[in-house]
Amino acid sequence: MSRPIAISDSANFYVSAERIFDPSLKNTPVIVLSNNDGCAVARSDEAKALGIKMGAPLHLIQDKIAAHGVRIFSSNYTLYGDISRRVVEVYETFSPVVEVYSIDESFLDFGGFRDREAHAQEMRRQVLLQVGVPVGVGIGPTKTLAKCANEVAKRNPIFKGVLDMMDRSVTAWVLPRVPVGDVWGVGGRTKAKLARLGVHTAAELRDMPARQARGLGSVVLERTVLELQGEPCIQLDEAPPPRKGMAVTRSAGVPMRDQETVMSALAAHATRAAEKLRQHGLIAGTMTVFYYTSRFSVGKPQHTASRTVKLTPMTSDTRDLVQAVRACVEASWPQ
Amino acid sequence: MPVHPIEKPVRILGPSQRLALTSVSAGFPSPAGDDLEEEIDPIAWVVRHPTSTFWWRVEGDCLWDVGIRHGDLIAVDRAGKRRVGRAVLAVVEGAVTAKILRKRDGRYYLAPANSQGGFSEIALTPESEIWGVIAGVVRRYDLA
Repeated sequence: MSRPIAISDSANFYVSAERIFDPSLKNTPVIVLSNNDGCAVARSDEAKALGIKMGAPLHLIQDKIAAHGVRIFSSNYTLYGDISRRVVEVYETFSPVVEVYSIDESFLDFGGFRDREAHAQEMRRQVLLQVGVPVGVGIGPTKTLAKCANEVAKRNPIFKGVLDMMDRSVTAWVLPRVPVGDVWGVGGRTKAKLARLGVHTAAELRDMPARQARGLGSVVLERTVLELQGEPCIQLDEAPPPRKGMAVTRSAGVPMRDQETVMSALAAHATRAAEKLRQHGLIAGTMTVFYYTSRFSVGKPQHTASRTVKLTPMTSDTRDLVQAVRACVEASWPQ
Repeated sequence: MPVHPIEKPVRILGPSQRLALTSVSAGFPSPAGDDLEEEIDPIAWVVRHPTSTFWWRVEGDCLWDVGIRHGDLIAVDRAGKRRVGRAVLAVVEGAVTAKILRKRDGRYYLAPANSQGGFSEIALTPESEIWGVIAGVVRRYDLA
């Protein structure tokens, strides 16, 4: 049998971190705003119940905030980083291998513990006591199944925050109840493709032939199918796969009408893309520039442009990317 | 006595804060004063559990008699044992306050420690919660 993997995560982590120091926030709708205080990036359960969506712009939810006394915080990443590290320190006393997956999620090696559920419950209790944030735990023979277990445990209070899916009969019961869109690694596009094939649940995805999954999505989807079957494909501690492409896209806040304005916006995106490349120690061999007119200006002339250029030699230099952007814009601008 | 969380978390960062430790007698000059003992990191000496210890700033003097004063920084250990007689941070009606945990006639109280008076005792209700136990205090004095 494969080694049990646990994932422990803290729901609404930023809100939980704020609540540690301000107990008056308990049972109160709370949201934490993005960097520029523009939109909600974390919501307490009470705020979610008010219908405040992830990423909701602040100016669109002002009436709800006023009506329900929603408490608002600017994000304090120094604090969240400190709390996250403390939570991981507690995890490290419960497992010899802890892979920090994100600021609020870690995978843990749960092999060798006789009563995994009791071990996970004690870990939750210690995180709550020592650091003060609630966490939930999912356990399974693969990371994907552990994630499923975690999602299910989060939604059903009967599990008291811990679901162990090492038992095949438990997995068989759970997977038909998990929407395919909630499976780790299945994004919006894949979900739509799967829906056309009548695949709506994690169980249906598990039963899909691996080869078909590869054809439909990619190696990633094939891996997901195998992982749902209980065959580990994503090892603990494995570094994320190297990125093959990255994109920087924005919709214009105010309409852009001339070539120079569009050019300067694209130059800014290219600068950001170059930064991202360097951050990940990558260089780019091709670049695609695209832009199009507003889909909402009905009845007005529309234009869509997309140009791809080869970058030789490959580069992550901002100046090279900006130069390439200029070439693309000049070649594609409507005459 | 209200307390305020310290925005930038204080953490022990490497050995830079290790100092030579000598005993200081508060009464007579110590005859062994020139015997250097071990090195000590004062913050690590206070903080026994870095994972569960948080720093707060004290406002008010309700714990004056136990040596905690307005403006002090206190280290509070969430994992510390809640024992009667210990200075604790408690959550009362959503506010965090520093008090001494007392027990009388089988009931728990949050008591001030200031013989000057002016601070009241609060009964510990099921809704109130002990946030942590005060592990140490850091104070500095005026040099001007």
